[in-house]
Amino acid sequence: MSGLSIGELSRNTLMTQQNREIKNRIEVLSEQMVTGQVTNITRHLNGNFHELADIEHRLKTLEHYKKSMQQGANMLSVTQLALKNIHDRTQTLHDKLRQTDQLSKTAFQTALKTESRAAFDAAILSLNTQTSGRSLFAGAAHEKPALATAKDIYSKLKTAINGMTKANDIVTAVETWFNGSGGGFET
Amino acid sequence: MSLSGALLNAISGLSAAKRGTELTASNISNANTKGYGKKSAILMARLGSGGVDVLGVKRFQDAGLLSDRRLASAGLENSDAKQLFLKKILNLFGTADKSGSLSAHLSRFESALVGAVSNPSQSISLQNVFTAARELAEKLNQMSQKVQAARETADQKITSQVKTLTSALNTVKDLNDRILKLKLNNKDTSTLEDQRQKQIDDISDIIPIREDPKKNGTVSLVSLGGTTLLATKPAEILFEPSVVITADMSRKNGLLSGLKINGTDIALNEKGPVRGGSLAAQFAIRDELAQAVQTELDAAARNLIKRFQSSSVDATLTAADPGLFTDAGAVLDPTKEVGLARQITINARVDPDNGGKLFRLRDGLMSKVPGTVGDTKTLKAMQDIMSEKQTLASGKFATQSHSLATLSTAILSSLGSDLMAEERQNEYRVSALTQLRELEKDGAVDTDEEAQKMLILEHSYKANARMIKTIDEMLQTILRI
Repeated sequence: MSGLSIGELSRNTLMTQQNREIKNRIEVLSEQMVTGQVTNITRHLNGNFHELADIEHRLKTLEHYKKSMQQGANMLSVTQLALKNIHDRTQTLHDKLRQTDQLSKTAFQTALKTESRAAFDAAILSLNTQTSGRSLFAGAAHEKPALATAKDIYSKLKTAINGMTKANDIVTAVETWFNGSGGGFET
Repeated sequence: MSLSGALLNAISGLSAAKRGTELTASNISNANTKGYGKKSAILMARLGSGGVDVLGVKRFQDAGLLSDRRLASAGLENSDAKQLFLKKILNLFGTADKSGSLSAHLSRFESALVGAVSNPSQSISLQNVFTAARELAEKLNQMSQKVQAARETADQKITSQVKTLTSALNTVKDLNDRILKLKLNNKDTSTLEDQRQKQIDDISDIIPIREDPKKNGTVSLVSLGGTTLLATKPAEILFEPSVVITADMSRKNGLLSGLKINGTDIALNEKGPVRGGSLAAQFAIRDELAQAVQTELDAAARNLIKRFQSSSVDATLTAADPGLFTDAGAVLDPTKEVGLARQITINARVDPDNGGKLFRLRDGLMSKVPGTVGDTKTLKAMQDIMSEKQTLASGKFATQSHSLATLSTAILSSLGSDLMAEERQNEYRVSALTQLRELEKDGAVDTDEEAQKMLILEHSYKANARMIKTIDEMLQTILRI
């Protein structure tokens, strides 16, 4: 019979089928066009997700490493600023101490004393620098400042050299005080 | 010969033309009916006195084509069901570019650890690690739950298919009986045959069958796997539904029902009596495919728990202490791996909602008081153990070496290639079925052809009527003499 006649439903089915296929195809293509991504990833990768997963994984981890690096860079630049600050102050002091001809003058001594004290205060303050809640020079226990306040250290040092008259003795005593573990400067 | 004999012949011609017109009208009106078989009258010359007899109605049907189409349709139902399941599971895992995917959860946890290592004192960093870890555990829970839900769905589908099957078999049996009766009385059975064909189509999608026609007009049905589903009476098919299915329930341990035909438990594998249709597919999903996915999830969960349960990651742990990930709060029990993915939870000691403390993520799970805020030892060890390649103890990838990220991808890829294989099969089956359907439709009603037949029938009717008129005139002539 099939050679002689073609059933009504035959053409109908054929056309519906073709129509559906075309519609599906347009749907997929327009979605890919709009999103810029393949619709059926499984088919596109032939079921092998290793590379895609690897790339995505690296991207995500790298993003977080980038954030960590930025934080690290930020901390290091603040650290550098603090160290530079100390360096500048000590340099100025150092220059003044070399003016030997002036050292005998009382007015100069008083000025030098004030300046030394200020430089010391500034150095301690720099070493206690905090950024985003972390003390830069305090190691792992960075929730607290690295050193005691300059005022505390100063008063403790005064006690340590109490009664001493010779410059050498005082230098030794101060060095010992600073070198001792668990010294009064610690927090 | 007599004029009355001629009259009878003409009348038989008229009734044959009427019967033919009736059938043509039926054909045209059913031109768009699915499963309708084109009909025509079987005519035969009457012996002796002459004239024509309508012996019966012929229903056009290509038995070979029908059988092929049924097998193709059943095969398609089978691979459709499996394909749908695999797609669902693949979506559940998600590809790495989707934010809810398992890979993305693993990455997020790892990234949170990187963030915490660079900033261990901030509670937000630890909070991020905790949240990411909890979400990872919950993702595994959810996946395991969905896999078991898929098994429940399969079980429900089996139940409803068995119901359909039983009622269709009973209907076919009924139709068989009615056809037999009508045949004995020499009546037209073609409409009933149409109905029967539709019922058998339905059965065949569930269990592919061969139709065995008998001379008396009835059919018996035998499954492709060789089990008789309908002979003199329909086979009794028994299935006991399970409403709730958990990972530890299987057909092997008797907690899930198999299929009984006429009281015998039948094999449900690829060589079993019900192979190839949608019923076999649902059994395959419930008993094999879903179970295989669950096994992989459990293996991944086990590996995750094991990684963090080591004193080399967290120095405060002893062998009896559960790590960051726990088996429902306890240490890993390797003998009870089935369903582990459903039970994996985050250790309560770090969960602020459960009286835990976040600092334990940094200082060790068993530590009582916060330690040094800048200590990154444990966090760094956690970060390292995530990407460390370890030999797996269980699952499909046992004895292979994987990090958690590569393991999740390996599972996903294995599912992906399964899906691709199924899709290729499916494509082939769809095109085969389309072709067969087209061929079948080619043999269906063609109104042009029917119109032609109608012209012939009209012609024949007119000729026979003319015959009667002529005979009448002849009789009148005789009477007038």
